[in-house]
Amino acid sequence: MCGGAERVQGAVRAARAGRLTRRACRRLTHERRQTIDPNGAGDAPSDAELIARWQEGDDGAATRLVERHAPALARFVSAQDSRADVQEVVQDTFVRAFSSLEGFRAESAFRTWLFTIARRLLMDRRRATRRRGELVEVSEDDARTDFGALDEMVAEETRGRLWRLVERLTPTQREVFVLRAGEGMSYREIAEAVGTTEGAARVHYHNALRAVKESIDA
Amino acid sequence: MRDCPNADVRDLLPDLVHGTLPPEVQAAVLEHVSVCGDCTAERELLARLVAARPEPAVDVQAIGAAVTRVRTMAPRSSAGPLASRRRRAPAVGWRAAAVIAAVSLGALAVGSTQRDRDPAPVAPAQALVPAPAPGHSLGMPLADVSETELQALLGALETLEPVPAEPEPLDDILGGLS
Repeated sequence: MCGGAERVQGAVRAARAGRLTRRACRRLTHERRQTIDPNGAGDAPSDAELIARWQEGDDGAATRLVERHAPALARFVSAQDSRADVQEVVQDTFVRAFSSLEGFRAESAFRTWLFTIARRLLMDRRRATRRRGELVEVSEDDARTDFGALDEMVAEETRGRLWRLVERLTPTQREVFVLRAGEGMSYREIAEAVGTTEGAARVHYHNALRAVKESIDA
Repeated sequence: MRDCPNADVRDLLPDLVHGTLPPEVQAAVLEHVSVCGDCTAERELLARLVAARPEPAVDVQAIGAAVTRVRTMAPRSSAGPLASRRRRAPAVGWRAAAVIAAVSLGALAVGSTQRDRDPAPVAPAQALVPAPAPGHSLGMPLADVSETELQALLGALETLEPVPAEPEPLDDILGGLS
C-alpha cells in the first residue's frame, strides 16, 4: 500500500474513533480533492485531460473548461469589484491562461491558476482606473412594484444585504473569505491564488467570518 | 453569534456546506454540528452566504471563441509546450552570440577606418557596420550610435547564419582585415 493510501487509512481510523484532528481532516479533504472531478461527475474528464486535448487541437475541450470554471471566476470577480466588467475580466483570464499554458505547473490545480490570473488582472485594472465617486442613478421604474413581485424583492434585498456584509470586508479578507466560504477552496489553494501562506489564509478567513458575524449581531 | 471552541470542526464547515468532505469526515462533523448550537448557526450562515452570492452572467460561447483565436494566433507546437521552449533556447543563445560578435566587430571596424586600411575582402560580419552618414563619424563611442544605425545593425542580424555552438576563433573572423 503506497504512503498516501496509508495516511488516508490512518486518518479514516482516527475520524471513526472520534479523534477528529485538524491534520487528519485536512489530509482526507486534500486526498479527496485530488481524486474527485471538480464537477463531481465521475465520468467527466479532468482539467488536465481537457488541457491535453486542447493542446492536441480539440477546441471543444477549451469550451468545457470555460463552462466548468467561468461561473466561479465571475462570482469572484464580481465580489472583488462590483463595478468591474465581469465578462471582460473573465474572458481576459481565460485568454491569458490558454496563451501561457507553458507557464502552468500541473502540480497546482488549473482552477487555482485561473483565480491567480483573475486576481492579478483585477489588481492591474484597479491601478489603472482613476477612482471617482459614482452616483447610483435610480430610475422611476425601479419604484414600481406589484404585489406579485414584492416577495421576490424582499428576498432579493435580504440576499443583497447579506452579501454586502462581505463587500465591507478588507480586500484581503474579502478575497480569502469569498474563495473559502463562497467557493469552498482549500487553504492551500487560496494561499497559492492570493500569494500568501496557508496559515495566513486561515487567519484571514476566521477574521473575516468574525467581522461578518459582528455586523449581523450589530 | 458565538464561535465554537472546536477550531478543527469550524475549519471544516465551509467544506461541509460545499459537500467536499470525505464521507467519514462528513459524518463526524455532522455528528458534532447536531449537538453544537454555535456550529449549527455558523453552518447556516455560511449556507445563506453561498445562496446570496451574486451570479453574474457570462457568455461562455464568446469566451470559448476568444480562446480559439488564441490558438490561431500562436504558433502551435505539436511536440508540446516544453519541447518548443527547448527548441527556442538555442536560437536565443546563438542570436545573443551574434549580437555580441557584431558589436565587437563594429568597434574593430571603427578602429580600422581610422587606420585608413587598403580595401580588403570584407569579412561578412564587417558589412554589419553601416556606412557613416555624411559628416557623421563612427569614431565615437558605440553608445552614441544613432537609432537608425542601430536598427540597421539589428536588421542585418536577421540575415546571419546560425553561429555554431563553439564560437569561431576571432582570428578566423578577422582574416580579411589583417
